[in-house]
Order: sequence, then C-alpha cells, then structure tokens
Amino acid sequence: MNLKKKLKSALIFLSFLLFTSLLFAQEEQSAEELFKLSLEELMRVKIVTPGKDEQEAWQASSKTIVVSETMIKKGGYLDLLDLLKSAPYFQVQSEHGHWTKGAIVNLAGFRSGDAGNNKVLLLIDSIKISDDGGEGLYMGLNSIPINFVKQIEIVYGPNSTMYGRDAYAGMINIITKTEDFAGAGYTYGSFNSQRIYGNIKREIAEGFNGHLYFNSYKSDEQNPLDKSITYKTRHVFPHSPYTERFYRAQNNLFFDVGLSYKGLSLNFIRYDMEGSETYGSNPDLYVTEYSTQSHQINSILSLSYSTKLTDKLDLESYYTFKKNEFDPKSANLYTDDLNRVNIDTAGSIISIDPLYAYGGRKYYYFRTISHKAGIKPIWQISDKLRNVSGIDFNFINGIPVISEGKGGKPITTDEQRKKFEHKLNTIGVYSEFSYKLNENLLATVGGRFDINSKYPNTFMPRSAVIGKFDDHIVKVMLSKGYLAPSITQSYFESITTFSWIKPNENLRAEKNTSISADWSFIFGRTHLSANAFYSKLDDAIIESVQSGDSSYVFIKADSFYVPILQSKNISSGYRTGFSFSMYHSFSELLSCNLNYSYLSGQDNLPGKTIKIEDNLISTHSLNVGINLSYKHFNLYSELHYSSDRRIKSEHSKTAYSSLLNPEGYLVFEMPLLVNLTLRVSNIGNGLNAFIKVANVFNSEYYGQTINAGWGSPKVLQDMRRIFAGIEYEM
Amino acid sequence: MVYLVSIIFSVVSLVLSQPQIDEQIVKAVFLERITPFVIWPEECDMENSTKDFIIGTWDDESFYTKLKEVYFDKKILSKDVYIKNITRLKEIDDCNILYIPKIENSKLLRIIKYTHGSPILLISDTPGYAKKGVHINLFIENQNLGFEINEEAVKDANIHISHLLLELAKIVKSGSKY
Repeated sequence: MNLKKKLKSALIFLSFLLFTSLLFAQEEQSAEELFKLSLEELMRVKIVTPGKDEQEAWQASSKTIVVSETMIKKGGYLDLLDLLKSAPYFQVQSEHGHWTKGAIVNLAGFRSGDAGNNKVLLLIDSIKISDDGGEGLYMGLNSIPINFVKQIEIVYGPNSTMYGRDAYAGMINIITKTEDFAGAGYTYGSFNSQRIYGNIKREIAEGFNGHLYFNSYKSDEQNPLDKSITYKTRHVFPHSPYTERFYRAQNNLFFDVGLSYKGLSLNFIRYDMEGSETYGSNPDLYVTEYSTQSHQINSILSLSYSTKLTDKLDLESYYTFKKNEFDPKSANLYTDDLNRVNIDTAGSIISIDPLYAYGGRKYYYFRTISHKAGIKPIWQISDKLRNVSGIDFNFINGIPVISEGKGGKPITTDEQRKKFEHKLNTIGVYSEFSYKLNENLLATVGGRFDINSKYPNTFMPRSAVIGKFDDHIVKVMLSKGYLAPSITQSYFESITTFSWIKPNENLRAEKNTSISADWSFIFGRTHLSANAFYSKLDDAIIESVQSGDSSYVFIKADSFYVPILQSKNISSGYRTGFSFSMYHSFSELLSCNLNYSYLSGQDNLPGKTIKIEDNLISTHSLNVGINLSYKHFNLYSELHYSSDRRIKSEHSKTAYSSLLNPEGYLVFEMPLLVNLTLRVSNIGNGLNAFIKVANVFNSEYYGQTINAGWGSPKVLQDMRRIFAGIEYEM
Repeated sequence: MVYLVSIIFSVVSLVLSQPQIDEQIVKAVFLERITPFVIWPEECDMENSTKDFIIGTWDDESFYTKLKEVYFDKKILSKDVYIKNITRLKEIDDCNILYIPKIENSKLLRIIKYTHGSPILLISDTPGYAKKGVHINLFIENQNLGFEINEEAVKDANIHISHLLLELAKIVKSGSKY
C-alpha cells in the first residue's frame, strides 16, 4: 500500500475518532448523577442494558491479558485467529497457513516457521490442546470456536516451570463458562460460509454438572478437489496476486462434552477439520503449484479430580488421552506440472519435471497418541507461604511427519503407522513457592526438572517479585521455557530422494530464558499497562531464507542433507520488546483501547547474524479500538497497523527477482486495516444480532507462509469479508 | 466504502439521542446507597475512617472493573473504598461487602459456608441466591432495580439492617423453593 493510501485510511479513521469523541463528549458521567439519588429514586431508574458491560481487563494487564466474553462479542471475533490479531505482541505472518494451521502467527518475535504454531501452547480449561507430537499442526487457529468461553487468558513469556514442554513463547488458555447457560447461533458470510453453534451447561442435580458445546463451520472458499484458481489463471510469472488462495479450513466440526460431580470431571473434546492448501507459484522450485485436501482429527479425553485434603492442602490429579491424526486425502501435484518448464530472465531453461524428486507421492502423514497423567498438591503452608508442586508423566507414541518415497513407496509403512512405533517420553517434577513479604510484596521461586527419553534432560526455573501499591501492580519476572523436539525432528529423512529415514542423534530442546517487567495501573476510567522483555535463545533452530530450509548434518563421519527442521540446534540469539496498552472510558457510551508493541532481536548462526526485522517480523504494531454503546446497539471499530516486513531472498535469476528491492529483499507493505462490528443485543427474548465487516477498505496486502525460498513469494491475505449472525441466549 | 462507513456512523449517531443507564453502574451505586442502612458489628471498626471500606467481587473482572471506575474518587461511610477481585476464600476475610456473580452451586455453597458468622455483607444478582443464603439479592423487575433480603442469613452474620431498608425489600427465607 502506498503512502497516499495509508494517509487516506488514517485520515478517515481519525475523523471517525474525532467525530465520535465530539458526539459523546457531552455525555456526563451517569454514575455521578446516580450518587445524588436516594435509594428509592435509584430503584426507579430505568435500566436498559440487560447484560453485563465491558470487561476490559486485557487492556489493563501486560503480562497476562484477559479477554472476556463481552469483549469477544463486541469485537465480533469469530474464532481464535480473529482474536489474536488484536492482542499485543502477536503478528499474523500469513492468514493462510499450511495444512490445517489456518494461519501462521508469530508471538513476541518468535517465528512459527515450517513447524507450525508450535511456540504457543494452547489450552482449554488448562487441558493442553496443542499436539503432543510437537508439530504445531493442531493449532488450527481459525478452526477454534470461542462462543462458549467465559474468558481467554493470554500469558506472555516462557512458562515451562508449571507447564513443561512447549510453553516456550506464551500460552493461550480458553476458559469455558462456569455458570449455567444455554445459547445457539448462526452466522452467514463471505464465501457462503456458515457457522452453526449450540452450547449448554447445566447443574443437573446438586453438585452434578454437565455441558455440551457444539460448533460447525463450512465454507466454499476453496474446493480442495479442484485445481487451484491460481494455477488455472497463471500463465506468466509473476502474475499478481501470485497465490490468491492458500489454505483455509472449510469444514470444521467441534464438540466438547463434559460431566462433573463435585471434584471429579470427565471431558471429551474433538476437533474434526477438513481443508485444503494451494501452494506454490514459485518458479525456482520443483514444486510450483499444488492443491492438497487434508483432514485432521484431534481428540482429547480428560479425567481430573480435585479434593481438599485439609484446610490447607488441596490435591489435584488428572489423566489425559490425546489422539492427533493428520491425513492428506489427495495427492499434491497436478500432472500438468510434468510439462512445466521454467525459463529465467536470460531465456535459459533452469528446471523441468517437478516430479523428478517428488514423484507423485502422497505428502505427509502424521499421527500421535499420548497419555499424560499427573498429581498436584497445593499447600498453604502458612499465612504467608504457599507451595504448588507436582509430577507429570507424558508418554507419546507416534509416527513422524514423513514423506512417502519416490514413486509412491512409503518410508513409514502401514505396519509402522499402526504400531505408533516412535516414542518420546517425559517425566517432570516441579515445585514453586510463593511468599508474602508484606501486604504489598510477594516473591515466588520455583523450578522444574524434566527427564526426557530422547534428548537431554532440562531444568526450567522461574522467579518473580510482585508489588501491589494502591492502584499500581508491578512485576519483575525471570522464567525459562523449552520447546521439545517434535516427533518429526527425531528422525532425519532424505530431502532429495525420500528413500531413507534415520534417528536424529543431535536432538536437543530449544530454550528461551526471559526476563520481563510489567506495570499496570487503574485510575478511574483509565487503565494503563506496559511491559518490557528480553529473551535469550539457546539451542535454537532458526528457519529463514538465510539459514536455508535444509542443511548438512553429521552423524559420526557421515554427512546428510536434511530439512533444517531436522538438523542440529546450532542457533542462538535474542528477542526484546516493549508494549504499551491503554483503555479509557469517556462515558458509558464511548470507550477506546490501544495496544502498541515494539519488537527487535536477532538469530546467530555460525558465521551469520539474521535480524528478526529481516525475517518477516514487523518492528512496530498498533491496534486501536473504539467502542460505542447505546441501548441495545454496540459499534466496535478496530484499526490494525504494522510496519512493513521484509525477508531476504536468494532468488536473483528468474522472474522472481523482479519482486525484490535493490537490496534483494522481498518487502511486504502492510496496510491500515479497519474492521467494524455492529451488534444489537437483546432484540427480544435473548435474541442478539450482529454484522461484521473485516478489512472494510478492501486493502490489498500479502503474507508469507514459510520463507522467501520455499513456497509462494507472496500470498494474498483476506480482502473485505462480511459476516452477519444471530444468537439466542437463554 | 467511505460513504458506506459514513452512512453507518450517521445512522448510529442519529439513534444516539439520550443517555443510557448501565445496569452495572446502577448496581455499583446501589452498594453505596444501602450502606447508611447497614450496621456492621463493632469489630469491623467502621467508625475508623483511616481504614478502607473493602468491596470484594468473586472472580468477576467485569464488575470489579466497573466498581473501580465508579469508586475511584468516591467514599463509603467516609472511608476510602478499596475494590478487590477475589478468587480464593482466604481473601474474603477483610471484605465489608462481597459481591457474588452467577457461579456454580457448589462454589456458592462453599462461599456461604466460609463466610457464615462473619460480618461480610453478601450481595448477588442471581435468582434464588438469597434463598441459598446470600444476604441481599438484586433483581430487575419491569426495568427497575429491586432487591430481596434474607433476614435470617443477615442476622447470622451479626449484621443489622435498618427497617427502612427492609421495607423496600422483598424478604425471603433460606431453603424454600424459588
């Protein structure tokens, strides 16, 4: 987007801000008026807002932000991806991701890379939803409904002390409602998308509760069985918009059913997602264009029990069984690609026959089952001292993300798949003490030791000092997290012939040691918060075009050329960032919120340093939201701005080079994006309705799925989309 | 599209012609309005204006935030007001008022059991809660705020409520069906 366009959008938005501010400046603080009334008069005041009002706690908190159900509804957030776009330190690298990820999201400067959204741990009611195989494939962000939640807690920074593996850059915990409720809804929108949901939670008898949450989403956005539209329309490369449609899950089914009696809970959650990806338009690769239909089923069975042993000792125990299954249902490549010829700018043929290496294979197949069990005593030792300790057992059996061989001969045979013969086991012991130094000061210290079957053991400490002074809360925290090698990383595969697989003896966990400081302040109608962090990375695996997508590794005297994902943990580096959040309520009618984030950092590889600013991370991000409420009406407008992103490219010979700037970078200009949601609540008997317009100005912008060397150079992101829905709440 | 947005803004602004009263604000103000009619036992040291008047909300960020906004420059019974959001029973101890939102029955019963005999005024806004042992339960009837008082439970808490307040309230007893 050019500067003129950016300025135009900014001007419109600022005009809107000014207009609304002036409009409502005259609205006096109604609370002031109410305090002048007698009790009898107060009881005669007409009340027109039937529901609870805004919970803006997430704007006021820096370390953990809480997004309430009310904010989700007002913001018109339809799924988890929609919500994360507005959260501090989150950046959407591409709204269309591989397989069933739904989108590629970077948190606090940590790139997701080809391994998926594996650096953020996803939980529902503290049950880990992220796959235990560590592939990150199950973060189908746009497939995760959020219409049954009480709140969503986003925790920043590593947190392996309490949560173990993969609590590396942050966590998202979806907290479902605790009270009885029932509701249903229907949404219709762009691409003939339809969402139907129904939720109920009831206390069936004294102390006996049950719930059922159901969500179905279908869309015609892309028919996975068709050739990609891009493929059909592309004749000359580059042909804007390069790749029009990438992956978007178009048939999602979710349900969550549970029963609880006193401290005993039984829960079953299932995600069933179907989608497709269209990939390519990169003339420098063998694989230039393909479309794959994929199917993923993610099932979690959880049993937990909590009891109060004494006045000062609570005990919690749990068992979770999880099965993750990912199955591409259609072949990757079109046979048309057999005849594909690439010609460089000088007129020479540089590659032919893309099926030479990728011989019509069915792509990746991945499956894990895991058992996790643990026990956690919570002991209030004295008025000042508290301890939380525990032990976790995690047994993971699976088959890796591995390719079938040239000519369709599978490396992982059906027999191997049935046996789930690849195993990763972990036993972790942890303990954390918190001590109240005085009324205003709290100190915590703890650590976790994990014994791992396939890679070196890890120790993850955590410590914090928290001060509460009137309306100020100040925290200084030191914490560490690790990203366990995935099942896939546990094996080398030949990237050239796919004809062999070997155990990876170089495995180590990636580590993130972080120090951060938070401040939050509530003064009347204004909430302020700020956060700064510094994270040191060790034993990291860095994916960027400069690190390449493959590298040589050595096992004794033998060298192997393998995907970088499966190579040695040879990188180090750091991330640093600052964020500022503000919420202000001008009156009962008008409020606004703002999040600003700054990110910087670098990755060190042998003989090379890569700044994250040169690896698809925006240095500056800004979100501004304005909320207008009147009677049954609520209008929420939201602006997203990110500074431009770039990534170094090594494609300098073919037509690809015309996309690069003089320094050889592929640049992604980020527009100002504006979303609007108009909501009408309680039209009658619990009926609500809303209309959401995303990307109101239909701004054209692009994302990047992996890096500039592998995959499509630029992927068109979501243009204007419109959704309308009705909801019924009992 | 610019015109479309302008039209939306215009329509909304035309509709916005009167101030609205937020239910949560009315409830927040209600807490202060009833305090002259409530007498806490001496042990609560209510005469001591150097001690804060403490209002707790049980795991309800929304109402907590609203109370913080409403009371940031207000006093109750000449005392500064301190608002805290509570998630553990132990934190209830120093509250003068505890607001309980709609929660699981087992949790509600735990709170009522824990506070039994303590001079903490329990206030809720969920049908049936007064009969379960909450002292004052707010409700909306014909768009007006009303409240019911469980006199028995209030007495058990060693709190005295003026007859002037009782006259405005609907009186309920523990245990009867709602």
